[in-house]
Amino acid sequence: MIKSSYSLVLALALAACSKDQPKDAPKTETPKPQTADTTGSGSGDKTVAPGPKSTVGTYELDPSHSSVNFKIKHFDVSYTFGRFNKVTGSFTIDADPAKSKIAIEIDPSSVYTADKKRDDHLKSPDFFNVAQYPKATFTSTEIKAVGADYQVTGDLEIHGTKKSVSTTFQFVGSGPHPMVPGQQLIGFIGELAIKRTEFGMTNMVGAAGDDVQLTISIEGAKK
Amino acid sequence: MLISTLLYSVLIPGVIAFAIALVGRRTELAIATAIFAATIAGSWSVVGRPELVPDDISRWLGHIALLGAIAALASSVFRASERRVWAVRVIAALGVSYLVLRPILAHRWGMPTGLLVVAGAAVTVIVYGGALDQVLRRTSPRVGITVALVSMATSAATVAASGSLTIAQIGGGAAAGVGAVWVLALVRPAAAPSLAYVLAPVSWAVVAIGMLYASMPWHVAVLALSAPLVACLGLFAPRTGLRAAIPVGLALAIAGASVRLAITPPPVEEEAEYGY
Repeated sequence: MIKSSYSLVLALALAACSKDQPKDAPKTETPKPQTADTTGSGSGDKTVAPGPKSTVGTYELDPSHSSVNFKIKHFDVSYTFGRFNKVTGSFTIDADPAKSKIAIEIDPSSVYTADKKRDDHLKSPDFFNVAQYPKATFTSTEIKAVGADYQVTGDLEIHGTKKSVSTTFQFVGSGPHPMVPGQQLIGFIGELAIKRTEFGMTNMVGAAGDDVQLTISIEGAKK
Repeated sequence: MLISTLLYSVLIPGVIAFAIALVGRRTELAIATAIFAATIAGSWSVVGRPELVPDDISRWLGHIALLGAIAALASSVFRASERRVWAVRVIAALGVSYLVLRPILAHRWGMPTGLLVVAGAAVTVIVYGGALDQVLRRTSPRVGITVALVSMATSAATVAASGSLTIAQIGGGAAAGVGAVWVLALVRPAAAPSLAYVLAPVSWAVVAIGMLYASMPWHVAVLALSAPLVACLGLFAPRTGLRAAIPVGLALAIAGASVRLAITPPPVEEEAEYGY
């Protein structure tokens, strides 16, 4: 009996509060971000594609939500996964895709494979030699629009060796930041296959494979 | 595969050094050449054919051994002049420390601080080499070469435990070279003072690379490099039957402590705070 009385009072109080709210109060509804389907190859049907008008601009990479991930074979029997936790940079989306650009800087000392000993080994002269080569970079040299995605050719520099590579940056989603008013976000993901020996990392190829699959996941906030 | 790589980087340099030291009748030049050849062979088996001006630090140990061999030759030529011998030592030490530090000088210290770092590092090369030289000259050939072998093996083992197998294997090649000289000394003891000129730069460089380019903590590096210095303390022991064994025992104790410290896992770091 007492319990049901409390419930009634609470319900009446809530109803009164909702009536007191002014009609011109700002809406607090969380905006829904635009998203792309992630089942296709990257140029398939998109539920919403980022139109040039809404996404044109320069974006600063959000290091907390951007990463460069990799997988590499171990003794040719399984895959080991890892990532670089510190990724910075910026990209510009221009109405003319050819004028768009992207520059990413990776801190090789932020390599993380969930094993401290292995991470230390990866940072040593046996692999990334992070003391001598403290940064890895990817800088676009040519960009083409492919539907909502971007075909990007650029210079990838790892371990002091620069090579031209190509990848498709697939549009993931865009929209206003739900917690930071006025901030516009956009995200892309690109995959890239490289051979580490082509970048001068020739040690222990039997133990850790030569082929490395890179996945570059970036989230940018409009400046 | 890893085992065979290790065998190649140790066995082949050892055999080459043995042949050179044997054919050269263990003259100063032959021993210096033997250690240089062992380091080159170790480097070749691990990181490939030597290059004149390589980019990566792991390919410079052969050059450092060559610098040491040239210093050994020069000091034997200038033997009569103590001042000239010291000049050779200083130039070689500066050269070795510059070769090791060169790739990181600009972005880690900048100039002119970098030059001071090179000079400071050169002092540690001179101290390390001097201690090794004293043990080789003031003890019996067997004891001196054993201390040299323990010192080089300590450098290689600590860097292996500190995250660079490449550098450790090349250091292992140099240690195999000393091992070959040690075997010859067991059969027919003969002094090998020139050993310090080649071995000290290589051994010092292995530890320095481990500390500056891999994850060797500085206190492990200091302890590893103290092996010949601590062995020198044995020179002041009273003349008893055990005196000869003291430098070797001290060097072995430092070797054990260094490796033990190097393999001790570091304290767990706290996770960074998460934010949106």
